[in-house]
Amino acid sequence: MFDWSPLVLSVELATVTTFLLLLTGIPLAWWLVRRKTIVRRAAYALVALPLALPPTVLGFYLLLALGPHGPLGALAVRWSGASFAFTFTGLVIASMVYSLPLVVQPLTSGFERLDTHHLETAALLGAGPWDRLVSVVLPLLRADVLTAAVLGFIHTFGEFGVVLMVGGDIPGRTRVLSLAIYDHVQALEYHQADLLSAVAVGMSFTALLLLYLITQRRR
Amino acid sequence: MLTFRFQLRQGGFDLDVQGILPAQGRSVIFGPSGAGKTTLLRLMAGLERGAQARIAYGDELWEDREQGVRIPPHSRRVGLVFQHPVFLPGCTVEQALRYGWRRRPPAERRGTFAAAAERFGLSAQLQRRVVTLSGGERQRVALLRALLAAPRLLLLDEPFSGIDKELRATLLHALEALHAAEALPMIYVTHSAEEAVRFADHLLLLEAGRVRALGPADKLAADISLPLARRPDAVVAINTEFVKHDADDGVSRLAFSDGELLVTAGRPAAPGARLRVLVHARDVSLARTRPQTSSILNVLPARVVALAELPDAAVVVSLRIGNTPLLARVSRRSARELDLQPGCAVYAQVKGVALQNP
Repeated sequence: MFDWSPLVLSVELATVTTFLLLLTGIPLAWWLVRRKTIVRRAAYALVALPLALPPTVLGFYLLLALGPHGPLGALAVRWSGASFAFTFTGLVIASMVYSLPLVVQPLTSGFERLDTHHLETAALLGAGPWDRLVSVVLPLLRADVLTAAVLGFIHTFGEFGVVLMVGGDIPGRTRVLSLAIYDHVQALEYHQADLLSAVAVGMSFTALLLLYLITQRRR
Repeated sequence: MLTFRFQLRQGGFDLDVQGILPAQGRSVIFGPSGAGKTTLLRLMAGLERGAQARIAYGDELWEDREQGVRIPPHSRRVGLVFQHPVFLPGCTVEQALRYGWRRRPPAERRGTFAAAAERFGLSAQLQRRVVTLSGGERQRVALLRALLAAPRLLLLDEPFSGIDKELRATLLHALEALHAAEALPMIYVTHSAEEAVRFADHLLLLEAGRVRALGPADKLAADISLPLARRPDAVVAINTEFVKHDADDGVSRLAFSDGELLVTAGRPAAPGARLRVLVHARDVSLARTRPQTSSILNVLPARVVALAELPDAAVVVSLRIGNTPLLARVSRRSARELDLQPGCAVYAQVKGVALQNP
């Protein structure tokens, strides 16, 4: 019986990460574009930093942060007795940092294009800030939110270096698709590697195709 | 009462205004482009930040920089109709109209949705997409959308400026009817002198970010020390009541506080109906003695209050018929030959009366 668990794990990880990234990324992107202060420009650079770093560097520091002696890991130890290193939760946190720029970038560019007259009109018709986010911003930025979600998903789905450092490649727990493929190749199990790789290519292509079909039609 | 004081520096622009506008009736902010009219309106609505602002509506403090008070726009219950209103892409007329309507507690709504749509002639258009509407229809949707949110004060920023003249008159009339029906205070921004005088009960003249004058519209419109009365298209409004219509001559008789006007334009109205008529300064000529025979219907005894020389060999004469102000624009030569002086009695011959309400 072929072991599909790495695929299932990757899909789970990418789904949870994308969902959480949208929840945090939308307010973050909104905050980033609202006013152009020095602090926000620095924050913008910080958000984009994971794109520029080698994944192993990012993974290394994340491992330190999430491990028993890191700030986040120490909190986790206090709370639940174990750190985030080599756990699914650790993978989610690391993936969120890793994929953050790909989610935030389409959102900020969407917010920058947003005609503020829409927001002012809604406010004067009695809509408060959250109401405006749901009733005006999200409908206007539907294509950008979708782009952010798809990019966040496939970027997380395809990561290797960060999950290797933080997750430790534990079968059934943190061995995601990309790690499983690497392990199969190391063991000269080319057929298994091929199966998983083909699924990865198919999924990513389908996601991108859907994205382009939907966003092109809207413009 | 709307009490405000704003100081705002934005780029090279510097706005420093204060004043009090009554919380009833129709106020007009008039001034040339770039005077800061739109900015002033946006400050009132709470859309501009970074200003030294203090504004209170009645006893309700909306904003005070010093006290750190700032009621956000969505809590002020102020309606604003932009010059170029925006609608969410793909939305229908009904969706646009219901946006503010459903955010208002039912107790605060006025009338029913269907009746409002009917009154604005939009009942048949409810399922159409807003993008398919003409400019005039879209402006009507924007206006009704603002009204359905049940504002306590309606701000209008040159709402009909992109619309052709005839339709503009219709829309303006709808607005006047609405004002009469709902007693909703309005502040209307325009750079058209005629629109300003026609619409305003109170007038705020804005020039280069400063208040040039603020007061009752009939006084300011006829004040020849202000730029409004010196324009070639200077005009005053006279509030009248319809008396009767003579069908044979097609002449209607209108009474105002100090006399009567005969007008040929317009349709008969119910006796007692309130009509505001516009009299252009260029349509008023003057005589020292009562003309015995003349084709001019309206010859009104008046007193000269003041005169001012204008650049193009013309003189603008400020008159009073009893207490009703009137303007006449005559040539400098005529003024000299008639020996017009403040205080002297004249007969004002009104060549034409533009009847604005039907």
